[in-house]
Amino acid sequence: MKLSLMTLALPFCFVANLHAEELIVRTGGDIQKVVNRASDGDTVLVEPGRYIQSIYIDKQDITFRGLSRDGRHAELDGEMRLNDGIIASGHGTVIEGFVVRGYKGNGIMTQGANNFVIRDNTVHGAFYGIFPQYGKNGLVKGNTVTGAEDAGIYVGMSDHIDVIDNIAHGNVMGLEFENTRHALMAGNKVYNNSTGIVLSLIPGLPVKDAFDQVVRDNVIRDNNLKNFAPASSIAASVPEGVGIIVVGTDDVTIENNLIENNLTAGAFVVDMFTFGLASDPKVDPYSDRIRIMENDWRNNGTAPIGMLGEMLTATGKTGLEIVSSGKDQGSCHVHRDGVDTLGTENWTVCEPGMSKADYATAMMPAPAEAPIYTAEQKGRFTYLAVCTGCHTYGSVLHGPSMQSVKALYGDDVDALVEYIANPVRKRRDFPEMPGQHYLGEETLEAIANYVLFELNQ
Amino acid sequence: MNRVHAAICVALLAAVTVARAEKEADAFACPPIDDPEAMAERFAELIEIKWDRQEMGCGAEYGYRLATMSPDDLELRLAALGAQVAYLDALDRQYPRLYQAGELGGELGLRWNVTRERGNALLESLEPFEADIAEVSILKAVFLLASVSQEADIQEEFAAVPPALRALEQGLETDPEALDGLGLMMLGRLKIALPVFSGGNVDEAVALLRQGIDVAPANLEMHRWMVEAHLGRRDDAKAAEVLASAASLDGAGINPQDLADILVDLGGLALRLQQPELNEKFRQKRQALFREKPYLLQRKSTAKLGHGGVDPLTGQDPNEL
Repeated sequence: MKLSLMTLALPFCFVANLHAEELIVRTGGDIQKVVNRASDGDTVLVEPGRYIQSIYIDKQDITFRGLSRDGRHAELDGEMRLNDGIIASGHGTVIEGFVVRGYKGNGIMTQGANNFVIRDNTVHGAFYGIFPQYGKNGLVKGNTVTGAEDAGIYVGMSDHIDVIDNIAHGNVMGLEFENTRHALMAGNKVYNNSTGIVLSLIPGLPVKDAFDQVVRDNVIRDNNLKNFAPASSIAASVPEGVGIIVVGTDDVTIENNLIENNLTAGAFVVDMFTFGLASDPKVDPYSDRIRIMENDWRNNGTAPIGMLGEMLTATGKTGLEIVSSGKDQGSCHVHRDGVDTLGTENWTVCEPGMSKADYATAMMPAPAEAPIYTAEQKGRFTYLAVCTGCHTYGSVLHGPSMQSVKALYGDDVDALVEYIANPVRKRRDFPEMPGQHYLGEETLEAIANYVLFELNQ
Repeated sequence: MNRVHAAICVALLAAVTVARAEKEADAFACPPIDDPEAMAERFAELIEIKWDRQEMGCGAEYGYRLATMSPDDLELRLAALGAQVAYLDALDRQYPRLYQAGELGGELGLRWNVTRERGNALLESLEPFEADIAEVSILKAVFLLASVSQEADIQEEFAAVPPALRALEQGLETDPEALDGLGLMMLGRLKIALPVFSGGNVDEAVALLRQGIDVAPANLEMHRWMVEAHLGRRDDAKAAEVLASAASLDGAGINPQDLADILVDLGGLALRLQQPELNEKFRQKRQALFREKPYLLQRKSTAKLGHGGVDPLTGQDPNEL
């Protein structure tokens, strides 16, 4: 019986794809309205122009493409009032060709979306530039990201992700893999950030490990920017002047990169204790099996700066390409004249057979499964993506605490949905909340249910 | 001028700084108490209420006031400094782990700064005794480290380490068993945390913490850090052994909030060591504690800026045991 149902389903999918449509947003139009009209598998084309909007895509296999003509682009502008540029939770979403600027939270974010592609976009500003989170099998390629107060391209709690041929400059962190498994960074140009590349394991998150990452054929230079993350954020502790930091992640290969003019150190392999991050006893804080193969090292560590600079200066050593906190195990590097190291006494010499120079992709050979999320899951995902930029449970962040929201609305889901969609300023001591109507009624209801009945229960 | 008089002068000067910080924190004022005996009673009582930052804060304040009222009472000053350290530790646990912005951060910051100023004042008045009295050196080190764990930039945090190391080493040289092995535990923790090129050494940490467990065999936190030290050496078998012996301790005499917190840490370590049965023991103890004392803080994960909170897929708190 099961077999016959599957057989019936295949031609249906084929028919559905045959009917995929192209929908066009004319210059100055309402993008979300067109996205709402789209069906699974459709393409939404956005004509050049400036759009002061936030976009939410929760359908499957939507291609969302910004068009360019005569040097003009499809430009989403948050005017530093809106929180998020594009948020997608639909599997198979393709986001390409947009210029995204002036958003306070996320420039482009995918949440729980598998098989995503984020390609050829330019993102200016935002807290996180491009931020796929909880995704499997994704590609981030050909984007330019600048001005992020945290990471320019930030892959969080995801698996099988390629980050290829992007440019990241002027961010606190250029590129970051956080609590991510099976991932590749290749062919990127990463310059003028505080730290170029960060491979991190962060405590307290649902994913408790990070491993199997390859960083190859990137240009990682001049990452000496003064850290401009808000003082209260975790990114404020990112050191300045470092090409690559590995903190807590295991099984990393760093190969064939040009690592140049990073004033503090070329690469820093460190455990979570050193950064004060070892607050989660479920997490193994050590970075083990780090393999630093052949790379082109030039002029790193010449004038250490910031906190790490002070630590290194105290040792009396400068000009360091590779620094380790010395607690990792199973790590190795290729010994070369002119490659100075500190803390690598227990490292061995890498064998040529460990090379990942030909490692083409971390993506899966076939698409990842595309589970349909329940209303509860949708509520949690969207609350995390959208609401936590301004609200937290027991305290005021930018907006009122969710505790006070719960007290105010009790079990009145409809009233809360109405307020989130079309907020009216109620208290002068809070900034005006941007309307979240673009999320659509179903998602707003899921968020309201989550806030009123599940959050902190 | 003898050492006690010098210490009194220093304390008076420092009191001006403390008064400034206290003015900023007026919103959290404590009920005034005139009678020193009554104040001492409230000090002893409130400093143990670690689940309520206002009540405990008053305990820390009364301790400081008592010490300034009796500047020649060395023991009282030490107790007051210990109270500031304990309060900083309690506040530290209430800061959100990843992002600290917002109203709660503002309130915690005010509390933090006034406590730090009080601690600095007490510390200055105790400095003349540092060379001879192990408790002074050890408490100094613990205070230096605790006072920069929040409301300080990472440079300040690192700058606190060398003087703390020196003070710990000095204190341990005088009396390693002082304060029930607190110095041994703190130096052990530092040896785990520091990079090797800055003095970190997990083998030394194991030796220090072993000595610490001999001094204070019922101290669960000492066991917690001993497990961590063995894990630093990747010696899972020894780590599991220490964890099992921690599971056999009843936690008697430990502040209930501290016990609730340490049980989470031990349970987490059990999961890391793939010892679900041990985790279950710690979980059950913790649940029993919450049933008995429902006012204790459960430290639920809170989401901010796209991070933290429950697992969106399962709805479970990822930090629960």
